[in-house]
Amino acid sequence: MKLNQKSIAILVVVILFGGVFVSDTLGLWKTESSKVPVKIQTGEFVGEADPADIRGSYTLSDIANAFPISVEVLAEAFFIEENAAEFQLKRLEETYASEDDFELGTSSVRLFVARYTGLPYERTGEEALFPHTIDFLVKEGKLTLEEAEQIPIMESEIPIVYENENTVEEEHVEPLVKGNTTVADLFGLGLSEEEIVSVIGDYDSKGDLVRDVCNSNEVAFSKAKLTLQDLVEK
Amino acid sequence: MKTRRWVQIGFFLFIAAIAVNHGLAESGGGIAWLSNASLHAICPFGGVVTLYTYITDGAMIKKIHESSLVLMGLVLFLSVLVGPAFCGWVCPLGSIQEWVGKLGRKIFGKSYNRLIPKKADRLLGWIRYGVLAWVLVVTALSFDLVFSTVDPYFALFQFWTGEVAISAIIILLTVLGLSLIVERPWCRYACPYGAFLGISNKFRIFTIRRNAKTCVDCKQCDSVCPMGIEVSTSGKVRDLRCISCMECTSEAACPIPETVQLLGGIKDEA
Ligand code: SF4
Ligand code: SF4
Repeated sequence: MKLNQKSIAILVVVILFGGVFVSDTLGLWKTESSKVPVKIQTGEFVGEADPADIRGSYTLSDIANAFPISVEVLAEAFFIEENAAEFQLKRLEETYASEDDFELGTSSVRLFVARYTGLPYERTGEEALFPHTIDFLVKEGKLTLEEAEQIPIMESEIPIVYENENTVEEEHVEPLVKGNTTVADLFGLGLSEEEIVSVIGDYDSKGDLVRDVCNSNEVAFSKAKLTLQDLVEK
Repeated sequence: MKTRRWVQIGFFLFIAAIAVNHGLAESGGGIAWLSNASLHAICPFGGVVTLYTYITDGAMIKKIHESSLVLMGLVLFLSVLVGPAFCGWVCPLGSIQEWVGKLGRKIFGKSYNRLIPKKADRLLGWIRYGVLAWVLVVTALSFDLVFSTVDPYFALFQFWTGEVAISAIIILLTVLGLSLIVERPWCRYACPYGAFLGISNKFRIFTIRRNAKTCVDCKQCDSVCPMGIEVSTSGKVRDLRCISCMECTSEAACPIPETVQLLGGIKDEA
């Protein structure tokens, strides 16, 4: 049997587009991240889900699906009051600010999940927890007093703003610099090149996320966003 | 214009539109009916790099999605049938190198594609298997999409975003620059996905065959092959670098009808 250029063109288009259509119909075509953390490779806990692989895109229910922990326990630990199952971790960092070298964000959830479930997790040192969360872990016998003392405490317990909710809690002030703020946005807020570089360090392009620039320059994002906020409000 | 050119342009524009739409959708805009998937989600090579973690752990490498696995399967199926037609007909990075190469041919005329001696060209072709092995091993060990830091394909469709590593942009520019003197340099010497798909040339069902009885030895087929394969001395083209572009066939370059063709079945080598 002989094939010509036209038959190849048809084969290419039919196999690729047809295949995508069929897989979509079968529910296999997923262009969103899968929410399954990688498994621990070595040691006593080999084969268990690895808390270190919990990502900012996970919701509380994704975590509850992957680890032996409930949405309610997580919601209580991180002050998430409504629609907790659908709450995405990356919004923690956008909501809670800290002036120190630690932050309450995805890494805090990793630490909490690890200690709660007894799975191994190596701390990076920046994972803050709320005082009541640390107390809870100690009372449950999941954290020694010695380790509890080393965990940075997040004092500001600002209520979270929920998606699809236009009303903001009274004492909550929407931060100007958030997880999706770019360097260009900082210029838009009236900051000068010197001011920006002095806080976050050098950047490659104005489209870079402030958070990424901070990370690559080893500057604490939580601290930088407060300093930037002060500069804007000056 | 040849059918292949239309298909290449179509896929190039389609993927560019999805890449732009993804950026627009992230800032709240975009065209609703067009996919706004990320570039990683529509890359079949993502399926290859995540395969190990998927089999051993049931987990995907960060940024790679199930859709990549589906595309990997479809492209593999196509390759088993007709060889790496993905490279010759779909891959936008392959297409853009060819288009830049056309300009190079105009500028450098006869010396185009002659810079690298044939023997060196063949040997350099093995580098891409080294790149393939490196990508697979480091991805499996790090659970991270390390290749994106050097991937010129990602740079081609994301260069305007802050997501692209400078190293990837430098590689893209180098590849496009080299395309002015050598045809498809990335595909020939560096592409891990081309290396992977190229293996199908050893067992594909439809193969390029040259009929030695009618061949007049004009070597037209050799001069048009974008991958530098000597079709004029082959019976069946089983070369790992063939991209099923059909440029060498009697339909395109070969002046004698039914001499170089894409044939299926178990006909003996000529
Ligand atoms: S070899 Fe690589 S870059 Fe070239 S066409 Fe194939 S996949 Fe694309
Ligand atoms: S041998 Fe023919 S089909 Fe294969 S790459 Fe060369 S020109 Fe294209």
